[in-house]
Order: sequence, then structure tokens, then C-alpha cells
Amino acid sequence: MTPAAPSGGSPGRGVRRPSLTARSVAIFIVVAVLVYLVLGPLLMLVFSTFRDSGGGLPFGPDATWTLDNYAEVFLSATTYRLLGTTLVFSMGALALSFSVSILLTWLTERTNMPFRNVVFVLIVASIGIPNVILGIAWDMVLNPVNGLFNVFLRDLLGLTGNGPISLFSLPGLIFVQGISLVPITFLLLSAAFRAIDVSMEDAASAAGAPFRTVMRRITLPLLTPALLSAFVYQFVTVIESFDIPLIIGLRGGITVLSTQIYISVRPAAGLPDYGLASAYSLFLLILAFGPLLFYNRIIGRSERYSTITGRGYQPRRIDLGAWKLPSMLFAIGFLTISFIVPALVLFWASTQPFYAMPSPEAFSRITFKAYGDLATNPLVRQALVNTVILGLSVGAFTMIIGTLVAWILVRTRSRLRVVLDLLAFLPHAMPGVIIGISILLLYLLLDPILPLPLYGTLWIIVIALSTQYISLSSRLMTAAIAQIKLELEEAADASGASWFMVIRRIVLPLIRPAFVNGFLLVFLQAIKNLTLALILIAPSSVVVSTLIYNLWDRTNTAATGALGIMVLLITVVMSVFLRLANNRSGTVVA
Amino acid sequence: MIEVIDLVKTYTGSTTPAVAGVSFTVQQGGFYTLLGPSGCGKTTTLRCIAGLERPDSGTIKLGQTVVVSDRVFIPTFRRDIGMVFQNYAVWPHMTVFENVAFPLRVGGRKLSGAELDRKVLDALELVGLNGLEQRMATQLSGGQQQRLSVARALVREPDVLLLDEPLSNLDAKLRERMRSELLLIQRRVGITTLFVTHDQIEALSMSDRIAVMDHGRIVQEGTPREIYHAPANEFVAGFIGSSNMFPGRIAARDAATGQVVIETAAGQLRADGEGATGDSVIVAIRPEDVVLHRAATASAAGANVLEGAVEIGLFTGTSVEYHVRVAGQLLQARVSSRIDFARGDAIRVELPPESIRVFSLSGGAGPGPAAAGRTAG
Repeated sequence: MTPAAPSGGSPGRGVRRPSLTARSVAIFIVVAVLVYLVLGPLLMLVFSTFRDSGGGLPFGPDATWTLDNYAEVFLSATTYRLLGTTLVFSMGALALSFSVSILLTWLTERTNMPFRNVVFVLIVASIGIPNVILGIAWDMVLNPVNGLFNVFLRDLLGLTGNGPISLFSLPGLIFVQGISLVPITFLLLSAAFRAIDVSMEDAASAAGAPFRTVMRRITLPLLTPALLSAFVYQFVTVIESFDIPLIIGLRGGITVLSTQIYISVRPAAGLPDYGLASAYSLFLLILAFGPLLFYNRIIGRSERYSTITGRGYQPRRIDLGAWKLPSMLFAIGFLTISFIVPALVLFWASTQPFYAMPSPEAFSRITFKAYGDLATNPLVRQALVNTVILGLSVGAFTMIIGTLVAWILVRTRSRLRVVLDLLAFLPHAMPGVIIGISILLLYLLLDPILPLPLYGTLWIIVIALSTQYISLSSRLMTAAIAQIKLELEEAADASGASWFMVIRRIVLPLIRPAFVNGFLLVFLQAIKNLTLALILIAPSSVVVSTLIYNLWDRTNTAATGALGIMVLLITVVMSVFLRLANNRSGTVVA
Repeated sequence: MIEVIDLVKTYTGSTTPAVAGVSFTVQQGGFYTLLGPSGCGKTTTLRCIAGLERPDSGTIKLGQTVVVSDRVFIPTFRRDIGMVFQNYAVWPHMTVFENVAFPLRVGGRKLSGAELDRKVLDALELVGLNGLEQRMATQLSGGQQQRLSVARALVREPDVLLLDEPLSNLDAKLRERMRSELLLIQRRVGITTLFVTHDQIEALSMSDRIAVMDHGRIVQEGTPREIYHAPANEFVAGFIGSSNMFPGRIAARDAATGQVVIETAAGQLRADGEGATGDSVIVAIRPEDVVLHRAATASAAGANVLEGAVEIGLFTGTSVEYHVRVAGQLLQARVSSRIDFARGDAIRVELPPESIRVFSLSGGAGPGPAAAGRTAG
């Protein structure tokens, strides 16, 4: 290391070394921020697993060192039952979402199904549906007491009592979670289908292979890495998913790991057990982390699969012939379940003073009073303001940090890069519940010594969400910055621009589209998020997602429906807008 | 043998046909090239022959088999073809051996293991890839992937070989070498070959016959020499090789020689050509046909010797390209690299009448064998 290059590394291609002081300081600050955001909560979590908090806090005066939490989590049969349920739930939901998605992808990408473009847009639009709303809507349709479809079936079949379909069961939970996973799975798979060079398949046809052989020997093997990586990605999504297991699973007494952790810190009765929750969190973290390591290996392999690509031909679409109508009905059926039914039922609920089956009397009771109530309710106004503040701050903060991280990763040879890379990747593997718990603990500890109180304010949720989405923003921006040719920056250097000037005049304008895109994406994710908000909520920090959940929990169906419809409109429109913008850059993250 | 009759193909969503009535015949064992700029319909024609596109109308015969007609459409996998793609399309999840073995494994006739091995190894030997059987296909270099795809196309000894711009992804040096190698393989195997390219040098150097295509039609068909020396029209003259092309007007016809006298910006030119007095024409002459004489020493006098001055000379080693101003017209001349003029030198420029092509502005051809070429549409 020479004095001229304090950030380390040997100068060479890809290394920029002007204005070393400003740059090194910037790198140091970014690393410090990430350590604080990511490592702080994690260390707190690990610390808590070794503490018996005795009904108080892990660092409280009554807390003692112990290994009991580990014993209780890793040695008890309950944990493995929990793990079993979690795995059955995950695999069921994944099996459902992948079979539906593969078929839908194939239909829209490779066949002449009528209205395939409309189907594509609508599936993508349903990415905007927050899981909390999907769960609530299906509760309104299928709950065994007054779910519309159950009431309808009872009337039809002359049954009495509850049922006949119980949503609050493992199949019910798998059904709703499976549906919620489809849009992203679909997007990941259509990107995979599009990435296949059609001439690979043409070459097999020309070599004498019939359609089935081409599919079996060429298309499927070429899709395999992408399929596997989509599967691992969605596996992590489903084991850390929280909203739907909370809304549907808990009612049927079905607990998965994520909800178990929540129950441990927010028990219906009794004191929170932070030590136990932390130990469960560690268990879940291991479960999430394992496949992700595997995922990175697959990504590496799929890159090895890349060959020279020629001009792309539009793949010839397969003529469905007599299957056109059934295929279309399948696509419409899916959209009905994922989108149309939830939206309609929320709307119906919003117009009814009390929740009832559609009937002439019910129609005569239709009123839009719930919407008017929303407009005048101060709590709603506060939730809306808070949500906007939340979305804007999380979006701006994560994107700025993410951009700096990405720039350091792509453009410097700093020795801190390895650390930075790991820190930016970690939150991706951390289930939201875990981030929530560890941040909760961290700020319970820090609050007395911080100049401004964070615990119990909106800002703790902002910090938690920023931690959660730092992986997303840095990954998006790494891709964007890697696309800028180094020569463009070097040309600015050669024109006499300082490092700061290069960043401001060359790098920033070029990455602006990706930045805006990423900002909107993080904004959308942040306002949809229920997990962190629910764990960290305080009366003053109500946001829209928690408000909907609470309204539903208090069986205020009209208000739930009205607020749900409002949120749905905003998030769905935003997601379509985002997708259109993304179509140009080809990004598939949501 | 490949026979294509009145092939028409319009893509859905397009108003103009990609292929607008193309007919040609490739003789048994011949090397036939479809040459033209991108979007001229050459690749679409090839893909129709492969069965990767379904033509709107027309007939295609491969050997004695009709594969496309009003009543017949034989799918790609049942056509007796071998095809090489522009991006090679080697399968990245298979070894070199498995790539080549694939056509033998999926074919109707099952081979014994030993026979399959022998055929695969023979094919690899043919393209010079022996010894690399167990490599993954993606571990090969671009040139090796290209050979691999040729081996794969030939391994089941098909009737015809279809080559879709197979050399365009290689770098310049390698491309030059693969030209002769590919031709050598074709000659050795004696397979009927249809080659699609936008590269005139590939087309001229490799083909028995060339069809130049433009806007979905064949505009000229002939041997490489016919195409080069007697372009049928302005488009072919401009597309193949480089040409000085400039407008003129027929001022008179010399009854004695049968030549026309054309007024141009460069001066008065005599040329073999048709057309009536007063017709507007385009005059074309290849740079290598332009003769330059030093003005001081020149004794050349006669038809089409004009006074000019050197604007600039570009020395390339094999030749020098001079840009010469002749009255109101800038001309290019490619001469021996031994000839050395300085900028501003006064020279005499000779445009031999027999080297000049005259095209009427309506697109008709000049005289000569070009008119013998079969044009379609």
C-alpha cells in the first residue's frame, strides 16, 4: 500500500484514484452506516438468544445469561412440529404457484393464446396487491362463518352451521399464499423464457427432433437454472412471509415459524419472551440462509450457460388449436381468483353497513358512507400522512445508500468491498420478522442514550424498512452502474473533471432512470409492508397497512373494504407504471 | 437439389412481404448463395426452406421430396437438412460429443453405440475438433463453436446444408480462414449447400452461383464473375464491390460503334449501352477499372481520357486509392501501390468504355451477360 493509494489495491483497469481523501471518507461513512443498520440489529439478536430476560428486556436488571433459549428451540419437539408445518406450508404454496406460473408463462410467451398481452399486464398488475389485503379479501370470501362463498354454498346445498369450506386450514393457507406468490414467479419465469435463445430450439428441430423432444432435451434443461433460482428465491419469500400466516393461519391455529416469533414478542396474554423469540429467529435465519448460498451458486452456473447470442427472432408461437378456449379460461380463472374476486369483495364490503351476502335487501343498503368516514377520520389522515412520509424516506434513504454501495462495489478496489458486499447481501436473507424483532430490541436498548427518542416513533419503522430493502436497492444500482462504461468516466477525468464533478455530471445523470425506478419500487414495497410496521408500531406511528389490519381485526368490514380499495388502486397503478418503465431495462425484481 | 418456386411470406403485422415471389434452383452438390442487405428476405427464405417459417404460398422441393406446397407442409424435424445458425446455437448444457450426437439420437433410425461413436468422431474429425469430445460446448472458442455446429449439421448426412450467416460472428482473421475451410468441407462432402450472407466477399469467393436479393426479390442471379462484372442494375452495382456512380444524359448515339455518348459532370463519356438520346442515366465504373496517367508523360489519347487532379491518396499496401477531381465530379481510382502521386498533381483519367456500365434511371440493365440472369418478381 502506498501513501498515494490509502484505499488499497493496485491501480489498474477499473481503478479510479483521483481525490482520494473525499472518496475514502465517503467509503468509510457508507460502511459505517451499513454496519450500524445491519450488524447492530444482528448482534443484538444473537446477544438476546443468550439471555433469560425474566419477563423484562434482555439487557434489563433481571436478565441473566442462559442457554435455555437454545434448548427450548433446538431440542423441543414443538420446534420441529413448527418446522414441519412451515415446510409443508412453503412447499405447498410453492408447488401451487409454480405449476400455475409455469403454465401461465408458457401460454403468454410461447403460444397464440388470445389476449395474451392483456393477461400479462393483469398478472403483473396484481404484484401491487398487498398480501394483507389479499388475505383479508379471501377471509371475506371463504371464512367458515360469513364468507360469501360459504354462505352461497350453504344456501345452495341446504346446509346449516359453518363451512362447508374452511379457509382457516393448512390447505386454505397454502391456497392464498400460493396465489400471492404467482405474479413474481410468473415474472421471473417469463424473463427466463425470454432469455432462452430460440435458435437453440430451432437447431434441435433442424437436427430432426420433434416438438416433445425439443422441450424435454433443450428447452427444459436450458430453463432449469432459472427455474431453480426462482424456486430458491421464492422459498425464502414464503418462509419469511408473515401477513397471510397471521391473517389466515393463526385463526385456524396454524402457526409457522414467522408467526411463532411474532407471538413470542406480542403474546395475546402474558409477557413477551425476547430471548425465545431471538432463538427462533436464529433458527429461521439458518433456514433462510442455507438455500440462498445455494442460490448464489446457481446464479454462477447460469452465467456459465451464456453463449454468444445472435439477433433474436420472435419465437414462433405454438398454435393451441382447440385448446385456445380452455387456455383462456384458465388464465381468466386465475385472474378472477387473484385479482377480480378480492377487488370485488372489498368493494362490496365497503358499501355495506354490515357484512352480508349480495341480495335485493343488501343492494338496497348500498352506501358510500364508509368512504366519507375515511375522509373525515383523523386516524386515517394520520395513517396516510405517515405512510407517505414512510415511503418517501425509506425510498430516498435506501436508494442513496444503495447507490453509494453499488458505486463502491463496481468502481473501487477498496478493501472494505468484501465487507460491504456481505453487509448489503445479509438483509436479503433476513426475514422481515427477524429484522423487526432485532431492531425493536436494539432501540429498546439504545433509546435512553439517543439524543432523540426513536422507539415508538415512525422513524424506527423507517430504519427497519431501510435495513430490509438495502439489498434490493444496492442490487438494482449495481446493475445500473455496471452498465456505464468506465470510459465515460475516464473521458470526464481526461477532460479535467474532479472526482466529485465526475460523479455529479456523468454518473448521476446516467443512473437517474434506474434510481427513479428503484425509488418507486422501494416506495411501493415499503407502503405494502405490514410485518415491520406491526412489530414496531406505536399509537403515534399508525400507517395504512397496520390500520387496515386493525380495522379488519375489529371486524369493521366497511372501513376495511373502503381503505383496502383505496390502497389497491394506488399500489396496483404504481406497479403497472413501474413494470412499463422496467420493460425497457428488463429488470425483474419486485 | 433444392428447388424453390414462387415463395411468398408476409409476417403478421407487416404490410410488405418479407419474401415476395422468389424462385431458384440449387443444383446437386452446388454451393448457392443468397446475398443481400439486412431485411432483403434472404434469411426468411432460408428459414422457410428449413421449415422454421411457414410461407404464405409457393413450393419448396428438397431432393425429390416436396416439403412445402399448397397441400403439404412438412415440419422442420422431418426435413432432411443440416443447419448452421448465425450464433451457432450450440447447446450449452451438453458436451461437444453430445451436441454432435444429438441429431443421430433423435432421428427415426436408431444406431448402434459403436456406429454412433464412429459417425460423431468422423464428423468432429472433418471439422478438426477431434480430441475435444468431452469438453462442455461453452468451453470452446467462437471459432470452435462454429466448427462444432458445422459437424452437428453434417453428422446425419442430410440432403442439404443450410448456412445462416455462419461466419458473421467471427473476427476478421478467423472469418477469412473459415471461408476456405467451410468451402473445403463442402467440396469434400459434396453436399448441396444454401448459404445466406450479407458479406459480398464471402459470397463471391465461395459460391458457384449467387442470387442477389433486395426487398424480398431476387434482382440478379449468376456466377460470381457475372454478378461482379456485369451488375444488372444500379442496386447490384452499388451493393457489390464499390462503384463510382454518377448521373448523366445520353447526348447522342454513334452509329458506327453502336456506343452512346453521355454528358456527365466529369465530361463527355462513351460507353456501350442502350437508351435513346435525351435519356437520363446512371454511369457506373469500378475504381480498379479507372486508369490514371501522369499528365506530363501521358500519351494516352482516345475515348474517355479526361483531365483531372489528385485530391488525396490513401495508401493501403496492396493498392492506393486516389480521389480524383475530374471537372465537376469526384472519382475514386484503385491503382497499383507502386504508383505515387502527390496531392494536387495534374493527371489524365481514363475510363475505358468497355468497363462502364450504363443504367437507365428506370432501373433497367445495361448490355452484356447480366441480362441472362434469371430475375424474379
